[in-house]
Amino acid sequence: MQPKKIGKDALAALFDRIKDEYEVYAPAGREFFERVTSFHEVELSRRATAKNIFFPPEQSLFKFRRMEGGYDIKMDGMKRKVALFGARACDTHAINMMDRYMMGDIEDEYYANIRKNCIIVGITCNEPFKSCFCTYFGNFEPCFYDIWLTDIGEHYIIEAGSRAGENIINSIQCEDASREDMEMKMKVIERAKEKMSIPSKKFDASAFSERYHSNIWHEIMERCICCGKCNFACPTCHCFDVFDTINLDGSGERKRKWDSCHFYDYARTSAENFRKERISRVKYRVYDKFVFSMERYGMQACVGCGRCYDVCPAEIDLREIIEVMA
Amino acid sequence: MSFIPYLTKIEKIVQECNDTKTFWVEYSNSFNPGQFVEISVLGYGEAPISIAGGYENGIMLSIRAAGNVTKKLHNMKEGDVVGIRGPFGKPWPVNDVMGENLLMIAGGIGLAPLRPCIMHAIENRNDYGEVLLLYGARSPVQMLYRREYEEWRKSIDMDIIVDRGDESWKGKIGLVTELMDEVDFKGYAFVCGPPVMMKFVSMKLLEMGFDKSKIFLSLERNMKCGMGICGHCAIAGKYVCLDGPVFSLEDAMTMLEKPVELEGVL
Ligand SMILES: Cc1cc2nc3c(=O)[nH]c(=O)nc-3n(C[C@H](O)[C@H](O)[C@H](O)COP(=O)(O)OP(=O)(O)OC[C@H]3O[C@@H](n4cnc5c(N)ncnc54)[C@H](O)[C@@H]3O)c2cc1C
Ligand code: SF4
Ligand code: SF4
Ligand code: FES
Repeated sequence: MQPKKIGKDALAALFDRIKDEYEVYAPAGREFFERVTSFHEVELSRRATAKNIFFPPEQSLFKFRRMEGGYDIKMDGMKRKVALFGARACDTHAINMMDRYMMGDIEDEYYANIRKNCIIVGITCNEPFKSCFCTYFGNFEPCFYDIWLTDIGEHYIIEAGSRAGENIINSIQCEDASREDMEMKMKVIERAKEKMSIPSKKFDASAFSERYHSNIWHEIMERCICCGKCNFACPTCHCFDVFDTINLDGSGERKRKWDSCHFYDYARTSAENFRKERISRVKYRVYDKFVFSMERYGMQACVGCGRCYDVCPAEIDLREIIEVMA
Repeated sequence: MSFIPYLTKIEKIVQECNDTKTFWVEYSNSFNPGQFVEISVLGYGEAPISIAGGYENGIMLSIRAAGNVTKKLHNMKEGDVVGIRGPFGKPWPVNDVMGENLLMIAGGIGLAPLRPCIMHAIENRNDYGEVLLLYGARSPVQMLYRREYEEWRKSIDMDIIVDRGDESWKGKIGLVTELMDEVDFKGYAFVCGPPVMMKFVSMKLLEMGFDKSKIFLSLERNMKCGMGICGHCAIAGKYVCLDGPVFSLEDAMTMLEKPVELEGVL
């Protein structure tokens, strides 16, 4: 389908068209995507993490109820049609990574139920945030989308990346984008890319491996308070804890909730705490992003979105770490 | 594979020693020696437990009362309902060892994951060369499967040592590595026990001339899913629940984040 353009005031119509068919989630004032029902709530200029939509901070795995001779178990988790409205390119790369964690050889049903019925309506970043370094990993362009928007001034370029996206675009009022419009889009992209502050050295995962025992880790460890905020903000951190709750009548629920590899108890067992030392936990997160994910999934788990830096009370910036390591 | 456990009954419970009981649980999924299941007590949680053996209706699980779930299990009765998921994980490479000598070294509850391997060696005795089991327990009353030793000894060699003896104990006292000093053995070694035990046993095996690729360790980690999703069991990006729990010493030694069990092993 040829790229189209729509006037800025037509975006509400696009939103409404999507809302008719999907539960819509968008950046709307917080750090995470939220349920929105009207276009006015959407903050397109805001960047938010979308992983909570597929993988909620806390979620029921199943409910159980005592009955004669055993239990009755009911799985929570229904298929839902969901739209992300206002995702960024880094979000698409992050979702791509999450798909590998959650829908690889073994499929996480809860994640898949939403992910497989989800459309992504994204938008090009005209103005990078100060923590952004996605271009460093070649992630400025989205890796998949249903509909993609680019603000070129008076209009948005609107492009379809799937049949679903195409159908939606065909059902709203828009005109073909001209050559000039598309040139403008390229210009917007070039300008944004140039503004990004990225590490000066080329990325080299093997350099990370070689410096595993480097003293720099001690300096970073001294600063990190192991609060886990970076993990919660990160669109590719997927670790969770599982726990049961029980009611007075013996019914209850098995649930999972986000966990952080920075927490003291994360690798604790009845025999040993396998990452007792803070430095082992601080290193683990970074190596899991840059080295281990590459070995296992053929993909770096860090997409360069900088959200971990935004939330870190110790202002730990992966760009600095890359600068010394790579 | 899912998070929903299969509900089943505890058929039989035997007190093994002061802190460990063996549960016979009805379960039809087949397993290989060294694999584990997740056992649930609804309302309390789930714990990874090695399959200690099979019987016509299911599996045997030897469980030490260590915390929330395991203590609750110790308070349950025959006929009570538990949930099972699995089996999970890579087994001991029993087929690679065919025609060779096999040394099994267990410490404490570490005998449980080796028991199916012992049974396999006994049932297929002619497929193996020498088979020797060295077992270290904290005290005579803490030894697992005592009722079975006599039968085992008809097919395989076995030696036992305890940290602390008691009035009735006439056997050896000391660490399991001291038993290793007494033998001259070449071939494969399968090891399971507490982290420090695995460290000193690995060192000793290397000293004895065992090949790194022929030493296998069963590692324990925090596990919340058993399916490579929750992240908890990872060591250097390897999931102990999927890629392990059995690893060759060679593979374990090349992990960037060295397993705590091998700290100091060169
Ligand atoms: C592959 C594998 C196979 C295993 N096989 C066996 C087996 O065959 N038999 C067996 O007995 N065990 C086995 N284990 C170990 C067993 O899984 C643990 O003992 C079990 O998970 C403990 O669960 P729990 O809920 O009873 O204890 P938990 O309540 O989880 O507690 C365990 C211990 O850690 C302490 N602890 C845990 N969390 C905290 C915290 N947040 N703060 C303070 N203290 C804490 C508790 O006080 C307790 O001492 C195996 C483990 C693995 C990974
Ligand atoms: S947010 Fe910062 S201080 Fe907190 S755990 Fe992450 S790196 Fe450490
Ligand atoms: S590690 Fe930081 S920069 Fe990388 S994807 Fe996660 S939040 Fe973004
Ligand atoms: S137990 Fe969850 S990843 Fe291994």
